[in-house]
Amino acid sequence: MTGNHLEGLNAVNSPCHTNLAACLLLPNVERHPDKIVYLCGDDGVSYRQLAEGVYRCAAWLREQGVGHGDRVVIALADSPVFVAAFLASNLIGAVPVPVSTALPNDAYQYIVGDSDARVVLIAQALADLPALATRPRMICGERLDEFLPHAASAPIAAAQAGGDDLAYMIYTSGSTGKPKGVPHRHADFLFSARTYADQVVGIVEGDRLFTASKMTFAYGLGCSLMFTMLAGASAILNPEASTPEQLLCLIEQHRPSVFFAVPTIYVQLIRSVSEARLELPMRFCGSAGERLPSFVLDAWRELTGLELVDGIGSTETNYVVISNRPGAVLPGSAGTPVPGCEIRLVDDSGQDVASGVSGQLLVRCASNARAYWQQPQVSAATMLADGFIRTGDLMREEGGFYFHLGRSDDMLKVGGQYISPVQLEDVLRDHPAVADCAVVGCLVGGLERPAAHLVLKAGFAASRALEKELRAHAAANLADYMRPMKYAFHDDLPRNPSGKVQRFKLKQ
Amino acid sequence: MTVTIFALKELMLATGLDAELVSRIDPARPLIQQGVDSVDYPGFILAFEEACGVKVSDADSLRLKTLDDFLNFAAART
Repeated sequence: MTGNHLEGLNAVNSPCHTNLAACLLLPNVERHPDKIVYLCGDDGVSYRQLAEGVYRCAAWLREQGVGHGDRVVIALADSPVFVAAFLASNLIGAVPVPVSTALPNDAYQYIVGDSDARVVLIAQALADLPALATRPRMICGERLDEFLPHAASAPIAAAQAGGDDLAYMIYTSGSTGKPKGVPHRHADFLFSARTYADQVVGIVEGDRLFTASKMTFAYGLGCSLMFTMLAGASAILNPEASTPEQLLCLIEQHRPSVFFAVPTIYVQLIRSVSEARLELPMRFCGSAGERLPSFVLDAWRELTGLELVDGIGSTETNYVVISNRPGAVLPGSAGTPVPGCEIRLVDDSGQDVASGVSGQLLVRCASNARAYWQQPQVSAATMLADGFIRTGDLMREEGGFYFHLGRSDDMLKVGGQYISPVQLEDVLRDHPAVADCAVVGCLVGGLERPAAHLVLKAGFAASRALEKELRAHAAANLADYMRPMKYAFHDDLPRNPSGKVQRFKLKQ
Repeated sequence: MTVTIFALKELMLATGLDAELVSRIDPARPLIQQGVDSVDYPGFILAFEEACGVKVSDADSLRLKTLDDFLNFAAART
């Protein structure tokens, strides 16, 4: 242990389970109520002010009839208001469902419907979307002092949270193109905090955390909310897009001690700097979400003198389950198992593979999701009866270190986000020139990006003009990170005897 | 392709970058600082490789920060 108040959280493993919001908030309000927990723009919010915002929002949620187990969709930018809304839902026993503010209307429609949200809290920019007008809602800004200013802020007792009670749910891309809800229990992030944040990277009360990942992703939620508050530390929140310029500006302004981002962000930061040397205040930087090529790690160290501590995890396991350690990074490796995480690498028949041999990654730990939200068949294939989760990642172990080799399915991992090829292919097939297509991953600068392989209809010929038209079509119908980088034209797609596209041939 | 700043900007347009953004690009400044994002950048590198017949290694992809860098890279290899 490293001197924070995580010691007291061992109780979560006892029969006396604890409400997550109460664990995060109450010890801090008692110990250091006036300590600034969040820096957001020019705003500084103390633990006491945050608690008042949580109580105001909890009272509002109760007025809407929200109760135990009800889902609350939160489509807000990162800000103290997001945190207050999340914790307020948690406190009264409801289930916050954080959702990106950059989704199209049909994605919100699916998530609001699938989660059967009781209420939605949304950013002003989303106010006109029909999908977010189908439930009782509150349109929120980013300043906590303007958030329900006239509501009562009297403390509200935390709802009892049993071992199976859900604390939050995050949607992740599914192989069919529809996102899957991944629900987690109250104790799950307490496990990740005790193990990864405390024992692996050593987050302490004096730290100031900053991440480029938003709190609508488990990676950002862990850093900005869970680990910050469980350590009694402080964090920087950025409601804006995580552009290199914005990130460097906030780092200069607020001087974080720890920074987390996906490899794509480190690549952008490196490319954005003209100078040979960049002085940064952090003691180390963390990375996860996609494979970190060793040349990126080397370039970052050359530019900043800082170590990049890489790891791997998933929304299903809740957080990082294999990680390097600060001061002992093996470049190219995802590291060694996080304490409390059992790791297996198995072949297609489920047998453990020997050291040095590629295998499918299975993980068992206390923070594993038990099932996807209302998807029993997919759950049974992923969350195995013996408690292991089949992650879909292919890895190799050597000398106790694990190396990421790719995916065992067709999913792509781009900028820390999963992409189903099916979703892209459906969009491309909507273009009048496209007869057939397949999307696979290609490596550009060491990072995976989507590549579109197309067969054109009669009367259309491959040309730069058509490629440009297809790029515009994809840009108009897909989120930015999903847009294919490359367009290749074929007379036919390679298929096996049963007619299935042989994607591995397209990757060559 | 004869590699010039104009030709590189034409290539950017062909990969779908916004015309106004491309017209404002200063060849001496990092592209990332001028609005070329993590989606546009790899697309441009692939188009550059194909049009110029050169291979950009992983390490080089981090060193090619400005249009001038791309120009010099192509000149040294063609």
